[in-house]
Amino acid sequence: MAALAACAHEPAGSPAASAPGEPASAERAGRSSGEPARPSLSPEEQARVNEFARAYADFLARAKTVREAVRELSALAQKSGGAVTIVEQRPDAIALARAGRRPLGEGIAIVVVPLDAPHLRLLPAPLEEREHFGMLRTTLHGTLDLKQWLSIPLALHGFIPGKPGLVIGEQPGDPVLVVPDLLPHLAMHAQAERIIEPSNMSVLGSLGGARALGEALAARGVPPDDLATGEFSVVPADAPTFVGADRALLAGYGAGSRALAYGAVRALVDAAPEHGVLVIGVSSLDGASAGRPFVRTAIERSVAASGGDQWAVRGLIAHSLAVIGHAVGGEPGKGIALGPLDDDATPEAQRRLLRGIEHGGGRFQISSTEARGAPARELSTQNLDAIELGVPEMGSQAPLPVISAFDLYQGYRACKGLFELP
Amino acid sequence: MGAQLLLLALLSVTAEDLATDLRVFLDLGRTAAQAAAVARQRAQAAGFRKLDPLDRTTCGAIRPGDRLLVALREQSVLLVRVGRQPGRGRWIGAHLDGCGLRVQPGKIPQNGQMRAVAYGGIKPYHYRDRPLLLTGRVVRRDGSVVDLTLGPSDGFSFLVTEMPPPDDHALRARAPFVVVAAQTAAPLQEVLRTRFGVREDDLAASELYLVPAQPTREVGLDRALVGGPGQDDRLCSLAALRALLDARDPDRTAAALLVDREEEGSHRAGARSELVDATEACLAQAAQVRPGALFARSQALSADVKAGVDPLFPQVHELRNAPVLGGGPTLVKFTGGGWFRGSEAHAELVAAVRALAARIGVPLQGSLSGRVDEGGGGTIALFLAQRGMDVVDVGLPVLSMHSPFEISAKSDLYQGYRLFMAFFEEPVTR
Repeated sequence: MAALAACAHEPAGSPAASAPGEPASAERAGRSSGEPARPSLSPEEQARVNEFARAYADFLARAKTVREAVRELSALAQKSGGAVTIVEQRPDAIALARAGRRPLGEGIAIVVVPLDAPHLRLLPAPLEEREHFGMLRTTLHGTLDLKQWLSIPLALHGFIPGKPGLVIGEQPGDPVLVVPDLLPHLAMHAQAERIIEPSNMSVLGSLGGARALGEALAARGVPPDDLATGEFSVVPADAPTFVGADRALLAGYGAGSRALAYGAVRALVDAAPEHGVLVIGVSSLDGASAGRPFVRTAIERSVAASGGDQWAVRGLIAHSLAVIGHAVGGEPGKGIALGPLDDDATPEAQRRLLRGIEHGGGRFQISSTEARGAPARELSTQNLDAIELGVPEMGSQAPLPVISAFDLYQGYRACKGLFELP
Repeated sequence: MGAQLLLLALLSVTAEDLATDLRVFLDLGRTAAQAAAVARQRAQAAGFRKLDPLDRTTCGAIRPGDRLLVALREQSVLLVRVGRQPGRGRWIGAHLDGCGLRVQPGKIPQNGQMRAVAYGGIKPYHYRDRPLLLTGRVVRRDGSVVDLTLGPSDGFSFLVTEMPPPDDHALRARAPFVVVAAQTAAPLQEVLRTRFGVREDDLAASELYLVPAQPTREVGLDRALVGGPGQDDRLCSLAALRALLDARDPDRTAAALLVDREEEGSHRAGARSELVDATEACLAQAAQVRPGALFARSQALSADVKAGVDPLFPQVHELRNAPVLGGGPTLVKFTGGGWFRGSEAHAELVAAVRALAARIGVPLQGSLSGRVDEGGGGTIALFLAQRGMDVVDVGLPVLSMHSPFEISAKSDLYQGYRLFMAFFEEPVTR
């Protein structure tokens, strides 16, 4: 199929409709004119968008790793006062369910969201000494624009089985880590070809050598043995920040990748669902099928909870629709982005999702991305209609990706609308 | 009694005190003008009085022991303590400007995307996707002056979302940066008007910078390092400022010259400013020597940060002649990679500074500006040398120089402070 140009869709009668005087602006392709689309919102609507984005920024500041995201989503679900149940919770995955007015056999809405974001991960034996400094060797998790990760304050998040977690660099009084960068004066040869090799991304941990660094870690309860067994993530230390005097954009670590996870769980808490709903957060959807077994398990658990067997599970899946949180491109400020619709879901399922988004008053765009979704394809092999949905993001490989607060809110509305669709 | 207490207080200055002071200085002084204002306030609190070097009547009234403050057009500052032998001098020069982005004056484009250009030699990618703070000065149409800062304390930041074209080269910027100030011009116009009384027309006369919004941080689990923007060269500026304020009454006239515009050619009120010569003429007149004679009888340290050995790119350094962080101040026999704005010190002065450091137990490191043919950098040393001073480059090592998160060692600042203070205090022996 030829790539579709990105286009914005306006639900009829939505509160997000363009104001008189600028009817064309929302429909115009923003990039070509150099002017971003400007949906005009009522003050009340704008206030809701802002409030939602502020709450999301707080969430992002507390959820910098998969484990922390699971913890925060679990806490969020418990605000529903028991309407949302935790079907399954693992350290790096969570499944949340809410019963609808209709019986399970009529199908449910499933939202599968990844919880990870690109970061540096410590090697099992990370300590090394380079030019008198104590350094920590790393490997890459996800795709990172490495040069953007140089010379920024970094925090260390460690999980060690049976011990309290280690977090260094998140509080204002904490020290931070850094991957230093070469001064431009001396960079003309050394960085002419490539700014930095992935194998060279070592994190500066102390002025004293490797031994001093090892001792400093041990003093914080992490002896070398624990470095080998634990999970240690190096992430940007900066808190999320709004961008621009109108606070229309939000820059924050994981801002794009975790947007639908947050939106879906908030919608789950707020909605009065027609059908049953299952929101499944998995550590990663990258690669062919990382989240697949957990998705299946979560569905089986929720069916078993109402007395169903494996036939009930298969029947349920056949009648259900899965929305998958996945970066599918799109232009910031033009609404939630749907991946190409033609492949992994039937037209009937596509229409159901679009009706759901419209029911919730959400604005969407259909992305022209060429990165066709492996996650949706994987789930579609399970006889499950799957459509990818994502909040458009700038700088997805940078430490602080940027999203639009408007789009973030449309993700929430899309989920809520789908859940409540009669 | 008072003097003894004061002495005790000075002796108890620790590396931690200075590191805390550095972070305050960096967080308050985001631009050269702001750093100069902090220096002026500190000096005035320590009994310095303003001197107008263009007013010939005041020059005759200068006496040994006087503490003088010369503001070089608000963006640079020259602090002087007149010595018991006022015809001799000890100077330390450092610069207050740091690298960053400078906003192009004029109206805010309708799409809310401001234009900014590099100030100093920066790597463009360091400024992309990094929360930035808008700060600087606007002079309104009616001539009134407004100093403004907009950033995280107002609930938002500015952001460069795209590299300036052409973006084919990560080390070079030839076109303006595009900075998101809002989705349209209106929100920023509104904030400027309501918060600061600044209208769009007023922006035509402005000097506004975009600097990293994040505050300085301690770096490393041993908390031995400080990270933050502008340490080139506010690090040495603070060491020189504190040394001049804290030194005991000197034999020679002691002067700290803290200047703007080093990264852009030392023009305007930078190190080349005629006001430095005017001040020297004033001091020379008070010392009853001819203009220029004080310069000629002065030694100077040109204090600027030096490239500490980068643990990830050691190959660019001449490792036997490169400073490491935590190894103490550096003494540089010649700068500039041998050709670029270079300077070379007399062996006699190098020997004198080495002997001074040895006497007070300050470790000194040798340094070059990188391996032969890897590049280099200059300092204000030549502008001091051109006036007839005997100059040597000293400095403190930093990592990630010219980036928005430069890194220095607390122990180096402390040893630099001690060396600079001893340089001011060193008695005349013959």
